[in-house]
Amino acid sequence: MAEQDHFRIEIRNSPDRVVLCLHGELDLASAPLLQQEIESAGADAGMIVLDLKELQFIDSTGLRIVLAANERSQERGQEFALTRGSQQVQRLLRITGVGEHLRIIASPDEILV
Amino acid sequence: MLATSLDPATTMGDVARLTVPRLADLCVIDLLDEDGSIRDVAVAATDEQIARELEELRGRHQLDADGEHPVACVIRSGDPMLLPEMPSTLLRSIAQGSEHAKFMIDNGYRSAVVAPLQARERTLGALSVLRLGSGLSYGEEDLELVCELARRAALAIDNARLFSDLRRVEQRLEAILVNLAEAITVIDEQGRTVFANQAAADLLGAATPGDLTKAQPGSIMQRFQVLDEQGQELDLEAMPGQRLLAGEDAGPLLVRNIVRATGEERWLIVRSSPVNDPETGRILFAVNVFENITEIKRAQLAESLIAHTLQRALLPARLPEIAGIEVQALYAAAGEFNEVGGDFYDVMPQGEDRWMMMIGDVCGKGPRAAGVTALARHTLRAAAMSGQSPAGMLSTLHEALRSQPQGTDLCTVCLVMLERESEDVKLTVALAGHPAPLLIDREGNVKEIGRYGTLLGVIDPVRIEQREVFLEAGETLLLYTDGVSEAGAPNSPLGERRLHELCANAPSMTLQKLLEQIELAARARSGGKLRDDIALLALRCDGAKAMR
Repeated sequence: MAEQDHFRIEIRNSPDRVVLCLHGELDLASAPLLQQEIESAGADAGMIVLDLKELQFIDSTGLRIVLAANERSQERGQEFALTRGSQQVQRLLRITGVGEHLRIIASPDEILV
Repeated sequence: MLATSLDPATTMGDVARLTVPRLADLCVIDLLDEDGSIRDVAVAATDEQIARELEELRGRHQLDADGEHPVACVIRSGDPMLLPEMPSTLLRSIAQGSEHAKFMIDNGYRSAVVAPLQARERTLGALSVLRLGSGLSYGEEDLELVCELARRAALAIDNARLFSDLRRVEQRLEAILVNLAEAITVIDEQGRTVFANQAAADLLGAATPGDLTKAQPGSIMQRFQVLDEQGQELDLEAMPGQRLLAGEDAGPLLVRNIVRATGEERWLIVRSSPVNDPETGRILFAVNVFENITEIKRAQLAESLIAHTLQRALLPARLPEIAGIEVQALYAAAGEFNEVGGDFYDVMPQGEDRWMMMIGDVCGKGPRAAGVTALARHTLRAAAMSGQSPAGMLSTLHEALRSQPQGTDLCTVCLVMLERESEDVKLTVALAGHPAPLLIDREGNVKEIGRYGTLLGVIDPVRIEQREVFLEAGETLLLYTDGVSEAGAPNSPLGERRLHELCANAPSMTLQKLLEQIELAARARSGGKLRDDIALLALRCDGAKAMR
């Protein structure tokens, strides 16, 4: 687990994926921590899931990290998906068009087809 | 008497002399060294010649710690030994060589008591008392007395040792503190400076640490104007050390110190920690550590000033006048000396009766964000002048951002093109990752216009669709950045609903008043401190005179 003020990441490994469950606020201050954790925890995973159900807030810096992680996963041939976050998170994903660009799944353990 | 001196050598000399002549003709105190060897440290005798000779002899022949000498035996066992009689056979058996044996026989060693020097469950050495010549033999009652004397002597020696250890630790600590680059002072309960290192003297304008420790409490502070980060003057009681001594908790404090005499300015972080009485827990001292961060702070201020200046340069000095249409803008930066938040807005003509309004938000903060803001604004201006449609302009900006060397800067934009069409104004709205503008009719009904499109700079391809709508006389259009709707997030965000409610009152107020009301609400949600910049751009159609 990695954490700082207002933001915390729980990491769960399962055979086919690593799930990073984000809690709190993902912004300019906490984005570097997520970037670092995705790099270290997700490097060898077949699939990376960012579980956003406990994420209260995200700003554009947070979005940028999520988008960069998605791009990095594609380069490595990994699957990358998100779960739905709070209303604020969902709204930002909708307004920015990022939601339709990323794979959104209902539960962090959902099997992709 | 035994506790008077805290110097070990003096203490043992005193003890040895105390026994002569009433209790002994000769007294020797041996101590166990750290390496396990036995060393005589004090010799006293009625005949000083004997004492001197014995010291010389012991200097040449050290006692064998594993041997049969009573002192070695007592130190090993920790039990006292009474030797009522010392026949020459015994003396020979314990001697450390023939010279030693001869010395003992010649001086008539007669009877002895050897008692261990024990303190805090440790044997430190042995105290030996001897009778020489024709004196009386020692008996059991003497043994008890000598043991008691040895016990007290051991305690005195141990205290002296602890004290000398403590002094050594103190000196070592002082040597470390004196040489530290951080300025350190120690103040006592009365607020007096009892210790200061050279760095502290340098920082506080004293020639030597002694000048600080001699100064009256509080007098040093008078040389400075001490301000907090917001520029409020601080008094002595606000300093962490003084707060600790007053029984309060005190975290690190950032202060701006201005030397009254010279005007020289320093930024310091002051940290204090208490030194408590181990028994009562009362605070005896406060240790202050001053970290000089002037250089860092200067760099920070310079950067933020540059950013601030850049930001100002990126916003239009004033908005163009459009006949029949009122335009108002409001921009509020997060924080006083804010880092650039990257919000921007602009209104510019595109030909005779066409205008382009834009509002946007660049991700990130600081000079880099300011650079991206400049790129965005000027790219959009150029695209507007070349006659591109709003969606086309956004694609152009996307390409410009993508061709940046870093290629990861992202930005959201809302573009609205205004065109005169008979009595009304036609609006063409294009959104790139940005909240939709709000259209408020004369009855105060609020609706979002436009269709959400992809933010710019990171995702290929972008999908942007234009929407057209008419602005009638008396209707208001509001463009905003998400610093407004998300003010107070995540706990109590202003939110779109509240923003709509505020806008519903638009028909009854001037545009300027409307923008001020929204800013006020955003600030109230943020507890007075904005998390992000907010930008608002609004226009209202006057009707018949529109754009004529």
